[in-house]
Amino acid sequence: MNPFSARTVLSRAQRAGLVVALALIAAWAVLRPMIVVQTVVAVVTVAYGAAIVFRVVLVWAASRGEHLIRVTDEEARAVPDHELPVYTVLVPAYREPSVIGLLMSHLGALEYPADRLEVILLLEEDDRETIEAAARVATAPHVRILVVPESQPKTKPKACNVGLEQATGEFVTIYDAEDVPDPLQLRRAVVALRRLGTEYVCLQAELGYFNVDQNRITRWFALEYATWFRSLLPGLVALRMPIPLGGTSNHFRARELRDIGAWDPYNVTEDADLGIRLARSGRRVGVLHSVTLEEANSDFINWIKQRSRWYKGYLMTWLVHLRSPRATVRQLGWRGLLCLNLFVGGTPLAALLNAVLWATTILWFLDRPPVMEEIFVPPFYYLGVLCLVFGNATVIYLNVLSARTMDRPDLLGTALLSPAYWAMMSLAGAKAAWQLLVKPSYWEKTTHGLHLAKESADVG
Amino acid sequence: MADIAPVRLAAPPAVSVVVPTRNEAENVRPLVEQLREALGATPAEIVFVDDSDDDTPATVTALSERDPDGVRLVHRAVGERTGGLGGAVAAGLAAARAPWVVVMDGDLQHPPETVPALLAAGRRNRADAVVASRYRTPGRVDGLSGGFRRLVSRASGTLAKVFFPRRLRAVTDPMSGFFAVRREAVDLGALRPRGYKILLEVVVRSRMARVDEVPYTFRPRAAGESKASFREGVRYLRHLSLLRLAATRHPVSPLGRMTGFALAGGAGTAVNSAALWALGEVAGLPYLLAGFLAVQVAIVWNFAVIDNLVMPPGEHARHRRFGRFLLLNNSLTPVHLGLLFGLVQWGGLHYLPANLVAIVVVFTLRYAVTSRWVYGAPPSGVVGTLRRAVQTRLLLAALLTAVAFPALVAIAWNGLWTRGDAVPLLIPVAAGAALAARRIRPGLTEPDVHDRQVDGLLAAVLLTAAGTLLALMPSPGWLVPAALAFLAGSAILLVGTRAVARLRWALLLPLVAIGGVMPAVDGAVDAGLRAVVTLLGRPAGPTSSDGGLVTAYKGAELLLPAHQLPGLALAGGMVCLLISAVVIFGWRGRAVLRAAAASTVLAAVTVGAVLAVLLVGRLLGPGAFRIAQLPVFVDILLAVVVAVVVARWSPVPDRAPARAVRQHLPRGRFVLVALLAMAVLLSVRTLPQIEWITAGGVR
Repeated sequence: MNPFSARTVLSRAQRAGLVVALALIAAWAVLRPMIVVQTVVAVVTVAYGAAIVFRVVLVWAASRGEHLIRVTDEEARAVPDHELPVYTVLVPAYREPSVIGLLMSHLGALEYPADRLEVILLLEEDDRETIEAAARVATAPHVRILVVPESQPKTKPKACNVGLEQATGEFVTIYDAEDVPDPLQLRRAVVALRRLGTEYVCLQAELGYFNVDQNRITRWFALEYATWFRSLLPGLVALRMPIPLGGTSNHFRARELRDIGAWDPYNVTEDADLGIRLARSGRRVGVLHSVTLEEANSDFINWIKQRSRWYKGYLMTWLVHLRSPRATVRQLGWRGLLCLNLFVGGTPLAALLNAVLWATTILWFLDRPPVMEEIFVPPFYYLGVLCLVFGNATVIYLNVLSARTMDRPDLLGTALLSPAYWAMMSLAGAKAAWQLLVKPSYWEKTTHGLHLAKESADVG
Repeated sequence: MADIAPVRLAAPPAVSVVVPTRNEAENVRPLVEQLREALGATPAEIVFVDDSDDDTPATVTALSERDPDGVRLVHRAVGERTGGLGGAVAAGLAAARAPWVVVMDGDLQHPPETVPALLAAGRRNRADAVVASRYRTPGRVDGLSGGFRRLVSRASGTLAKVFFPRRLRAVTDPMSGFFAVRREAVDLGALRPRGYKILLEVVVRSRMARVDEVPYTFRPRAAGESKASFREGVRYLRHLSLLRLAATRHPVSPLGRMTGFALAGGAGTAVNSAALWALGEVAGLPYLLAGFLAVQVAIVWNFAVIDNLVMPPGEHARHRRFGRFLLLNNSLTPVHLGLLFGLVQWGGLHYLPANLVAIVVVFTLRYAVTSRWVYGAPPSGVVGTLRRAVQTRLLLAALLTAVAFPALVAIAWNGLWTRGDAVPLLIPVAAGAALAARRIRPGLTEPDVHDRQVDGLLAAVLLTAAGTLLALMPSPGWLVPAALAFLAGSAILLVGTRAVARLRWALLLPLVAIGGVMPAVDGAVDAGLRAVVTLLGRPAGPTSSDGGLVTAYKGAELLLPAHQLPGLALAGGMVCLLISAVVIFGWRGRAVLRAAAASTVLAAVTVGAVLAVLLVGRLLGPGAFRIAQLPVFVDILLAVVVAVVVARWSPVPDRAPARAVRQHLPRGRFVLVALLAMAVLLSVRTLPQIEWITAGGVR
């Protein structure tokens, strides 16, 4: 049994600690309300400032030297077919009948000998539509349809675990149904993992979007991904910190993956959790320079749903790995701890706090209530102002930087408009926090194929 | 050996050709021959409805004896010829046995070879009626003698299309006497033929939905005399008006009935108020008694309107219907009077506005009671449609906003009587409503993804913003943003984020009403108006020293003061037009051009309105002038113009492909209660500052 499963979000000790802490704070708040508020504000401001500084440090670290693992096309193709290992591709899909046909053509484009490739489509029992659609297109002998029996929790990691049990490959990777992977990606991963040695058990390929220009949301999303995969993740690699994996295109050594217990079916960002667990077991993760294109979420509500699931999962992962603090410190070291708190926990919390802080700022400019002067004690007030001015400028600057690394100068306007995107993030953060309390293991399904409707409408 | 009667096994007719004839003996035989030739193998019967006094019946009978199933005669003797030509056709329709009936004149001006085309078009397009048109391109008017008669014919056709734009959309020749109808689509009992142009009668009274058309060429008369006369033409207009009235009465569609009920209710409210005023103010009765009597008057009025115009008679006799109506409506009269008493006694309202409030509350209550108790849990029909309509939810959101921000309602109300320093709220609200009306249905490409938590969070943000603004920003300029935040929040809870996102521009239009940016343009627009009005001269006189407009009545000077000029209303209307144009057409030159054109119209209407006000003063004197210069008239006029223009611009939603998925409508019962509570709480904030101005209180 995985000790870090999100089956219970808070362990008994955590719960007791939380209750005691809240009781103490409440008691104190009754006695000295102003001091409690001041302290909360101070702690929040410092944490917020630290998260921003951490990001800047990551970008700085990423910019010093090369931290992506590069395998050229020639090197990738140089491996003779008979020396390639069996590679298992897991494709979990639920309610995706519209994109399953495209998936087959994208996987067909992979340059990997069919006799050494094993594609397992992981479909859910109650999803007849997708099963039928898949049965129509999955005609190649190396493609298997595996219907996952109905059982709770019905999540993507559960399906992946079922698939992993059946997998025969030496290497395993995951693609989502709508992904368009780089055709040489599997070969690159093989070459890279062999070159790096057994210390590395996982490679995360870069993710990008094929529908960047569909609307403003997809452009923001693309910029954010560029920041994430070109600056933040390489920064984590450079500082030898744990890497929260992305949901698709992670390439594993199958044996090691099984050893550490594979995915946590109760965690809704099983990938990030897996990244931390890999780090705890002393294994390393690299970022492979090979892009998988995904569908950027183009719809506001759909985006909020997806993002809230990610944030909920990050919060879960954060809480889960704080269960036994001493073991965490021992296994992750101070770097890992920083990453866990400021990156995994910090991303959703910052999104959530952003809304509160912006509301406070607006309130101040509207009404200047005198009580706020009391709440913000001078040193923290100045720190807060610094965060407001410097922090926002930094994040916008990072986005502008990403527009540059993507070589898409036309995204400059989008980068400058990113505060509106933060508002969306805050909304997702609030939804995530609410769901974490109400239904933690609920998998907020993202609808795919929205770019298809648009295209057919444009044509017809 | 017994005589065996010849058994004829002829196929039942597939088409009946009805030919009204009058003194046309020489045309009958050629017509029958040509028809047989044109129809070929199609089993057909020809029904002659004869109003003749000559030997036409004999000719037909002779033909009929040879072919009893193919040719039939319906002879109407001198006393039976009701309805003239139209009556004859109606009689023929009643006698016809085939599923398709072709009606044509007996004078050979209608070419029989067009008949198969009519039938084919009807079957192909599943139409209820197919008209043979003289005006559709291949057809030509050869037979009508003289340009003037052609013009008259064309004009009367156009007139009919003006009266029935929807039904006659595909018809270029509604005056045609040559057409085919599906027998079962004709409601024979409803026909009231008046001699002239039976086609309109059939199409309108039978409420046919699909009318198609094929072309033909009108031929010169072969023989006989023409029946089209000038007197028939005079009766035509009367007939059209009667038809229009009949088609508007007793609507069949739920929406039509709903509209009918709403209009009747609106009129009933006015009647109730007027009766209360007459009984209370003029007759001096105590207000509760006056209120009771006014309710009775309104019930009688409502019954008269609904029974005569909206609902079909049904199975009960009229007096029973009235009894039930009276009983049902009076069941809530105690509530009405109690509410009236409470509002006057403790609410401090005058009893006339209090009565209005009571009417609205009782109406809502009756609606709720009938839908829950009378119609049971799963509401059906009109009630269900109404309850499930997004429009209802939006209306509720608007009402809640009005409840939460009574001060805004007061400002809007007061603005109707005196010009404030902001754009009258009426105009942007009208523009917003017109813009929203066409966007209620989701587009085809819109994802069907909804999330109640997102709704809740967004609404929480907006409602908090509304509350905060209301609490912190006392200036009335912030009332509109606060109200909009509340409106958006409640709308999100009631119809979902996606629908509100679609309507966002309509929701934001009322922001135009904030006068903050306006004072700069205000003076300029007023000056422009003044310049144009004085340029046009009479009835406007010269400008007064302070910029007002002056006219004279019997030597006395009447002044329309500068601050009463509708410059702000005009400017606000133009801004609304511009925003709407950009929303509808996008950021294109076309949008600006359209907005400019519409603004010109709006400006012309404003100038016309100001001139009309001055003219009223000049002709009718100072009393009428004081009433005419109330801003409410000009504002309503401008609001109507803006709304009509915006509605015309809006693309008509595709009616055909109904989405497989029903339009998303979140559950809203608890939300409604919570919102109502919040609205009442918020209203406490601005309620004490309210000062109502009535029409009489104008300075």
